[in-house]
Amino acid sequence: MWSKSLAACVFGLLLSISLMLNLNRLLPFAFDIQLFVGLLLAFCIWVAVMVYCYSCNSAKIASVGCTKVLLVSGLLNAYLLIGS
Amino acid sequence: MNSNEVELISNDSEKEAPTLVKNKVIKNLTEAHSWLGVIISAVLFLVFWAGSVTLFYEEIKQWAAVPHYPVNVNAPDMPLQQIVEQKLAEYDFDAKEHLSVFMPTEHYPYYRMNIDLVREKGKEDQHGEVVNLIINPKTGETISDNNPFKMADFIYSLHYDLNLPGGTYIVGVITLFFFFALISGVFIHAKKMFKNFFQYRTNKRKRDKLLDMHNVVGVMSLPFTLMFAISGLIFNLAIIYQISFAVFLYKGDQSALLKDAGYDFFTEKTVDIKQDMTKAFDLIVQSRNDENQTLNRATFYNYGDQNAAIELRGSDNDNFAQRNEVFYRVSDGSVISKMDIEQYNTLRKGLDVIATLHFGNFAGIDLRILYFILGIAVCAMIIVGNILWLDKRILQRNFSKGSIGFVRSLTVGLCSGFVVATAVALLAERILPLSLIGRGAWVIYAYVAVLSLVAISAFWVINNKRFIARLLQVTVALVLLTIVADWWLFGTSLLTLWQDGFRGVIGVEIGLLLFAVVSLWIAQLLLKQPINEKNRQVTAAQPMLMNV
Repeated sequence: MWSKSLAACVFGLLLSISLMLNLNRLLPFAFDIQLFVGLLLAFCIWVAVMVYCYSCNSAKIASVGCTKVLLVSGLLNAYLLIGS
Repeated sequence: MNSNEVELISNDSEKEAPTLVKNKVIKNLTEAHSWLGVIISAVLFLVFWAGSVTLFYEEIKQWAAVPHYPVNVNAPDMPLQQIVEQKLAEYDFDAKEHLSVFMPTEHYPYYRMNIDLVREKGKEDQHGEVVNLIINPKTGETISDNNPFKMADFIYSLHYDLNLPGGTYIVGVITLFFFFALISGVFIHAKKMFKNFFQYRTNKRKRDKLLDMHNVVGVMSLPFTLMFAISGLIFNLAIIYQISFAVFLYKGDQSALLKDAGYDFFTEKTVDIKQDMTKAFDLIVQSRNDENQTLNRATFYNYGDQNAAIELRGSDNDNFAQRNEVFYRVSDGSVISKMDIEQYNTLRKGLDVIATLHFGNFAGIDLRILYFILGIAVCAMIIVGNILWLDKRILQRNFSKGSIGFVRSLTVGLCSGFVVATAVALLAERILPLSLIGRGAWVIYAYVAVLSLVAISAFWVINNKRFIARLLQVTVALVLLTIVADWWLFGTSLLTLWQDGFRGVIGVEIGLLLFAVVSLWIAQLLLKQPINEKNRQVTAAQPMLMNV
């Protein structure tokens, strides 16, 4: 359970930051709306990732699943942030 | 086995496969829900318990201070400028720092003034000493320069940072796990959420009763607990996203981020040319007379300098959760920046709405009583969750008696310890003499000492129910003693305070009396329950003693 907790916390944090940065770049809203939506959704994403990690049979399976999403989201981050 | 039978079995397996996966997911989530629940239970209980008490923060502050320092409500106020200049003359004020004045409120009828003192040579970069004055607005007399009434602030601090360095982040992480526990609880209970909405089995099986109680409280308080989880996370852990947004979206420009977030700061330096500050106090008077808002705080920057500014912060009386913030230049009274209903910022407004919902201060005391009941119900849900975990482990027989006894003693000791310690702190707040040096700290010492005593003694307890019942009786005795001390020390002047509109003093006593009645009833219920010799509980200390 400790290894699942570690995966849940770390991947939850990284994915929430990465996904929120993408959303902030893609959402066609004013900055203040983007920041507020980002703040609210970020914690929800973090907890959603935690639910996923704890629902997996092992920390390894959870980590593999999260890494795949993080890679895709990270690449999009790089494209949106460096590209701009 | 013929081909038709094989086909039938394979079809059944295909149908069953998703169900098995689903069951495994629920099983994993149930394990995580209960495991994490037990780990965070003690701190979460404290956060909810202290939060529930803090709902009456203003009333407790009034109850503590006003009987000692009554204010003549019919007397005219002393001009604020006269008070401020008198106090600044008494202290070595650093005009390059800011000076904050909190306005008297209906609950706390004093000015509170924070004065930054000149820093020692060589320590100019460090945060200097700040004097916190409490001032009678009618006479200008300083009631205290070292807040002797710390009980309400201490309990509030326990709620959001456990009164520990870095406690904000600890509470934030606990809140994150609490949020997970809520969502996983919804997944676990989803099928029966509506079907068993009001189910409370009254059969003799203790586990059924406890499980129903845990589920009923969990489901009914879900909107309330979700709001607390999200708002708590935003208060305590938003810094993580603030940093990431600043680094990646604003290329490290924190001030640009804060500007977009609707936060203004005054950063101009002094020019060492004297400035009369009367204009600033005129602006305060004007703001206080504005019926559409309630002025809460005035902050002076570069006081007495030509570059002086004043920030007036108030709450809009006409709009929900709307804060007004205006920066004025003192020399000409011009507006530097403004944040109000017209200068709308979604993030700022959103955060204010979240804070208002969290504190429940957008309606009358009835709403806060409802919040209190829900908060205490969540405390009960936390304890029941732990009992369920313990019962399951005892049934499974795959846990050592020592670890089960440890979790049980920790749950009983800390959760009941928080309640008794709060009652002790209340009594200490009332009876400790005002002349006692470090009075505020003594209240905290009393709290910590009692909490430690109860938590440690719980490890040697044989019958937990009887132990909790006795502790509740002690709590009732302490609460009643506090009320008696109130009337012994202040007598009929408490009635005068009620007539003058300071209803928080007797209001707190009524609340304490109701709490005492309910606690006594629960204690009686616990004492009536027979001791089952077969299920006599193992204390955490027993295995250790056996080893010895």
